Amino acid sequence: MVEIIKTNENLGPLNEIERKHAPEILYIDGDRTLLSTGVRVSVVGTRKPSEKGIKRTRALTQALVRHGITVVSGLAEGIDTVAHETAISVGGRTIAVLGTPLDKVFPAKNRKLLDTIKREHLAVSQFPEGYPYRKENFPRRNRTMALISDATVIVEAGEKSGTRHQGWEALRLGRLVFLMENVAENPELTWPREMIGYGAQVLRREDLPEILYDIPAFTAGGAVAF
Amino acid sequence: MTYPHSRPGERLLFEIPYGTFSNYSPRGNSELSQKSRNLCGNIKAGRAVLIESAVPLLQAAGAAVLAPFLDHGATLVPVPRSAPLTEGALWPAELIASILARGGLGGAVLPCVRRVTAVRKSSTSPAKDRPSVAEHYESLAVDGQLARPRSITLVDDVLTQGRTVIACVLRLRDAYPGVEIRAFAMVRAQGLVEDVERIVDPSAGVIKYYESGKTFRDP
Repeated sequence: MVEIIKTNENLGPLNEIERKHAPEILYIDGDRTLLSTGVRVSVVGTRKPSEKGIKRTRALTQALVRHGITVVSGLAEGIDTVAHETAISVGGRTIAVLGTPLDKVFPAKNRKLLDTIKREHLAVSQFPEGYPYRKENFPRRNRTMALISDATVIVEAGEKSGTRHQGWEALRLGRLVFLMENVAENPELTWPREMIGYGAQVLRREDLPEILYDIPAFTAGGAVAF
Repeated sequence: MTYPHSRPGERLLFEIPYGTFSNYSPRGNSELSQKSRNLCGNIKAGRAVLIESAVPLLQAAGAAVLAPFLDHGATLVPVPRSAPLTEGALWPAELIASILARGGLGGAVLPCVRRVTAVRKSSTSPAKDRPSVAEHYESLAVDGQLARPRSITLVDDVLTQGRTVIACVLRLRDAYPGVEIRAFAMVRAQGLVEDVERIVDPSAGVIKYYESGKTFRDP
């Protein structure tokens, strides 16, 4: 059943920097405790991943679930779908942040996946029912994903990838941003170097367990006073 | 107060006093340790309401040990993040310094130390990859020719080993030779004992800097 929650009350109190792009309300369907408990990490990337990209996404998602971390993604084709499906298949928790209202699904072939997420996990949208499809909904959705996540990992992405919006927003919010080694060192991409210059970290497979242990609980609820 | 040299055989170059307001456990399993991590994360996330809640506690008698760090003559200098800031980005140390100053703790806020190039984040780097004091020093700059402060208190969100703080001290000494420098952080990372026994725990100590480039926070 769809619930409407106030962002400031459920994710906050938000600071001035978070309020700049945060939607005032969110439409949610599923287990709302996933927004207030534990560490959340976004796993994002291209809609057309390589075989290696799919394998990396699976390995990363499995590692996150082993650490009890909730996997956040955008229900898009490609990396997002692999992240959600892997989290579900290994018994983890996942949040889908939609670029459409909750009653719509894009791509349409993810209808069953969205139903499962609503039933057993959590689906989130900032768009009310009937909200028109617009291209800019997706970068807005990416900023919301950055807001609800303690860290963002970009697994595989091209030069014009929409995941860049999420990376930059996460850096602005002071959240952690990780670029998988293959993204960071891809000579065909210009933005990873720039993003690293502003604080994105390179994620090497061998560093993964230690890094996952130390992701700060930026978004942990209930910490309003000493 | 004197502290034992903690690295026998290594030449101590200098030490600076530090004060911290609270304590957090990076990996302890107790409920209190978990709570300390949530508080620490929310401070790093720049939640003003949480930081403001510390002000009356810092003004209270229980925090007298921190008085020298936050007296009116101390210019508050926020410690930079690990990378240059994107436009409009969060700078937790600057937010903390501003809230302290608004609460009558410390003197003016002077955000004069900035990060020119990014270094790896200590908090998410394996121990072997954490930036050294020298790397921090090379990545920092002090802006402007400002009136010589009477004393400086570097302000940070979390104090771990103190490498960033020491690199800032070295830069500030270049710019303001002879000025007394201290450091204050809202939170210190618990050392050897995994679980915390209390979260609000105003404490003072020293960060030692050795010729080898190593630092040691005592306690």
